Amino acid sequence: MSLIPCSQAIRDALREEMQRDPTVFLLGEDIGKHGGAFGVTRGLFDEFGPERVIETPISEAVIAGAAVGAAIAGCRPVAEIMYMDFVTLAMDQIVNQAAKMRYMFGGKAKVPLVIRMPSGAGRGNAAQHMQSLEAWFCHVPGLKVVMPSTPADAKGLLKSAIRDDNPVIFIEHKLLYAVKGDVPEGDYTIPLGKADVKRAGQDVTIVATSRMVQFALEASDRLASEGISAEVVDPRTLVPLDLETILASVRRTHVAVVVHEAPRRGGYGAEIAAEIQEQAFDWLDAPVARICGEDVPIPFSKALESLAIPDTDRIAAGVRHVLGR
Amino acid sequence: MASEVRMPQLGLTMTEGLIVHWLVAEGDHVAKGQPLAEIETDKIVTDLESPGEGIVREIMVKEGDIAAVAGLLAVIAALGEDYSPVPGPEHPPSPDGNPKVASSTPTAESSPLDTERHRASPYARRLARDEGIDLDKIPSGTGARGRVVGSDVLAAAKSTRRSQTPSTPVAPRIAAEAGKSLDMPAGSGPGGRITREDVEQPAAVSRPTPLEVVPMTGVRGVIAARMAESARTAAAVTLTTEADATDLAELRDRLSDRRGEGEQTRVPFDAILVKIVSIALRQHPRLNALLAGDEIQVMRDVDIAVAVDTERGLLTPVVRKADTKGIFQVAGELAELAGRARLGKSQPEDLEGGTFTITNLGMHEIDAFTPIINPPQCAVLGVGRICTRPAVRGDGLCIRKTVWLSLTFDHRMVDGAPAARFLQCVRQYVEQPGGILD
Amino acid sequence: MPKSPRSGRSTPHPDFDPLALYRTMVTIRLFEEKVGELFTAARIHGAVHLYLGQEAVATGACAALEAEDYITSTHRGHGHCIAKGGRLDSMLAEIFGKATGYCKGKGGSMHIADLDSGILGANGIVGGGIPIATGAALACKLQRNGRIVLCFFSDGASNEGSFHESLNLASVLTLPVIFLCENNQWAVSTPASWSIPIENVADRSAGYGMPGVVVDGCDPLAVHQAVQDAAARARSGQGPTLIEAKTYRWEGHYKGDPQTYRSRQEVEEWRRERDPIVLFQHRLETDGLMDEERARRIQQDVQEAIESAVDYAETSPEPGPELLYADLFAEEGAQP
Repeated sequence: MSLIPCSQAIRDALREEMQRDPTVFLLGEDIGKHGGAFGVTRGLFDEFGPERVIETPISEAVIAGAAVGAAIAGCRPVAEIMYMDFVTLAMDQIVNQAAKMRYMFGGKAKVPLVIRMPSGAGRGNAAQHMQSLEAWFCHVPGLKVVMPSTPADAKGLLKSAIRDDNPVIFIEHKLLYAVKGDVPEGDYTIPLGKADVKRAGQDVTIVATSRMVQFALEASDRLASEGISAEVVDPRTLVPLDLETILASVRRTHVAVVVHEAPRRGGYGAEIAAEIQEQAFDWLDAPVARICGEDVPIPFSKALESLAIPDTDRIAAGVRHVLGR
Repeated sequence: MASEVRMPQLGLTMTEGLIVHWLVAEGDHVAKGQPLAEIETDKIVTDLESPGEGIVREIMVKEGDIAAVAGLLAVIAALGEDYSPVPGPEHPPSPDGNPKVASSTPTAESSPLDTERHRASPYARRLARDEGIDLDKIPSGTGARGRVVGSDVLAAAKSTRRSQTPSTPVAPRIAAEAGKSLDMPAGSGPGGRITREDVEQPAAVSRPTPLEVVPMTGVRGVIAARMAESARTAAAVTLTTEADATDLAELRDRLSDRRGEGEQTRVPFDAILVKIVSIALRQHPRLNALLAGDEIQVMRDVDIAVAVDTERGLLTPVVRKADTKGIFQVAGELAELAGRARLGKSQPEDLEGGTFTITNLGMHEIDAFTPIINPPQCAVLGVGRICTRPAVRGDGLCIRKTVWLSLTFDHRMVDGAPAARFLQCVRQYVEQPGGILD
Repeated sequence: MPKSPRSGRSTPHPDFDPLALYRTMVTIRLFEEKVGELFTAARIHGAVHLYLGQEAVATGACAALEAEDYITSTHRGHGHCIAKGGRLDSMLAEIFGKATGYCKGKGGSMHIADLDSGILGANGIVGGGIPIATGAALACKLQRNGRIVLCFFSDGASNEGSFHESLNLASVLTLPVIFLCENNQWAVSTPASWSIPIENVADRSAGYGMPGVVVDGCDPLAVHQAVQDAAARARSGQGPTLIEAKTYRWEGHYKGDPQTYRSRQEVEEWRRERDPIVLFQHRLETDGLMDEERARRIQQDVQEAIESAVDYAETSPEPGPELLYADLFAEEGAQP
């Protein structure tokens, strides 16, 4: 095991896959000598050269589109969109092209591409640099969507995403880049579509994603001292979703709470909550609750920013409320 | 600050309580500690005190309804105070009190559970269906804002199983599926079990409308459960013998005179019996025993429970270490215990425990009967009336006062001969009481 | 950078067969007429966008490519598909939405693809294929497989952001791609003369550091020459070229379009004066390669092939419900 930050775990995944498979290449802005806006690709240009680490002008549409074209013509591109917020400029190529090609062409094409993008709020970059837009992509059939919460998960999942023959949207929370965690040595992968129970408990199931997993675990420790035993389930992959693990947990605890940073309205938490109530209705002792970001753009002011997204306090309070304590 | 009024835990085995009577109504102002209601458990009736001061904003459980321990019964709050959700001591301060921020905590549950539909969770409903529990019997539970949740139903199932007529395993399922009731005093199966046939073809004769419906809850429910359990599990055998009580009656009169003025002048026959039986038990300790699992625990103390008939039903307060107490002390204690029991004011410790029971139906002109053992005890002595009867002494007939003693014992714990010897001993003391009662 | 229109004689490809070009153009013409007829008779559903009048562009361009080279096509792509070697029966079955179509009926007219023939798909998004062509060219360069990519798009697409980003990137990375703009003068109801503020789309090449070539899109040989030159550039690692083929869209944007935005007169003039097949046939006759009889026989032959393709399509089964969720994702280890 090594204790390394998330950004390094991601870099290691990219490096190992590029070493393993010569058709894997990187495409994005400032990813070469500069090492990427968040330093994730640092050193890869020196190691692999300009034909494997390909820099582009600021052109999100063609970054995504060229990745699609390269993927159907025999390569395995890993494109980087500098901030998830900028993916809006690439939406046609992701939604109308990448997601649909295989299906529309009757199974003729395969689109083995990964688009990586940093998401999330918490460091005052304001409304256009802090969004979590995963719900959009979860809503497009033909895309897989991954949101890791730890370095170990990020590395294993990214490797699987690269080896997957389908378009994968890989969402990395920018405030998790610096967070350290134990990462196993050697080549390992974590399968897509498999959730992880990060903490076992009996009284309530907390389904949390990305950076909220950390807060959910902190909230669980606090709740434990109050006699509430919380189970934290991290889906890791949003599409395809490991609903079975979530439902098995809810059947044991009878209470479910879904936590995500993205705004509440139309967020992916609504999908998970709907599935739980539909499939585990007769096991529920309370309505499925959602603890999410506020339905506002992320404000710049620190005080307001911290109100706009969930935190440990709010998660603990939400759980207590649902249990009626 | 709002206060929740919840069903208190009043005894170690208590799982639910009955609201006998509300002493206040919604809108009344109450002080902290003020009695709000009379509640009844399986053993006692007591007052429910207000946890706080304020206005009774809402009463969730009606008179005559049962609530589980910790179930929400009422809410006390200041007038106009928004009392839902009721904050606990650990709640974090809400940031800036900004109402909009509340949307990141669940908003789904802001209004009280106001209709019957909402009182039980889906899980609770399913369990209620599967277990054949009537949710109307559980109006309030341990979930948020008094919602009945799964664990409440499981608890109720456990306690009603004790008082329900036993059934074969398939009968409840058949009943639930057919929408029929398992409510019948007995079935046609072994041990009176309700069978599938009983459910599917209830008696052709339609039952007439009852004059009065007495629910088998509270004290009645517990009695029913315990009697049925005893009848079901004990290997009960009843021995009877007739004792000459002439000398005993004279002794009683003398004792009563001795007490003098200012005190209760009669020493009741029951007290004398308690004393006699306790001494007999010292000599026959195997009948002063309790059944615990598969162990017979022979007890050191002789704690005699005495059956008292009350409005609510049969209660058995206990005279502890009766063998060590003098007759007047026994009489005095017994009088107090019985008095409290009849008024419904027994304390929990009055009724706990007991190693042997005496039950006297003599005042009702019963001679001999087959009393039911009070589990987990080993035996019970039934006493009939003392009356004047013809008797044979020597070769001639004479008139004597006699009394029938009926001892039911659990053959699992003690055999016939030792039980008979004990009964002989009791009889001997009844016939020749001199000396033991001083 | 040469910008003048190219026409007239030029050095042909070794396998170059003008009669094959003629046949291809006739096939496109009769196929599109048949599709139009079927649509009007409500035997096919959805929408169709006919290539009538533009046959010379697809024909000349694809004739200059190798079989392994890639093309990306547009919503008006039947002509591209036929010229690149697509099968009439599989195309029609797809247009009918049948399970035997190129895409198992899941794509329809606007999404016909045949990766085995290097057809990377028609595209329902205007300009949607341009970044994809750019990416495919990147893959060819990285894999050093000698392939190049020909990207068909329209005058309308040249105003999309995707066009500008793609040409820029292709130039910056020196990619083996030919950007072929079919300027058919109309984008739905919007004339190119209004939406493009300069004389030629090809002039935009200057902004992206690549050659821009204008050709007569009604002359298959001129198109062929231009593409051939651009292909040579691409294969030799000199990067992309922008070619503009001036042509005309004979029908409305879609079959059934009332075309209230342009004059009948204009349409009739183009059809009468600049019919690519008539012009080419005349040219071939002049060169002694063609006569009436031969022309008639070719047309009859093609017509029969089309009729048989229609029968095939009409008698083919619809895709069953089990195909609804099929091919959403590639399974592990499955081949494309």
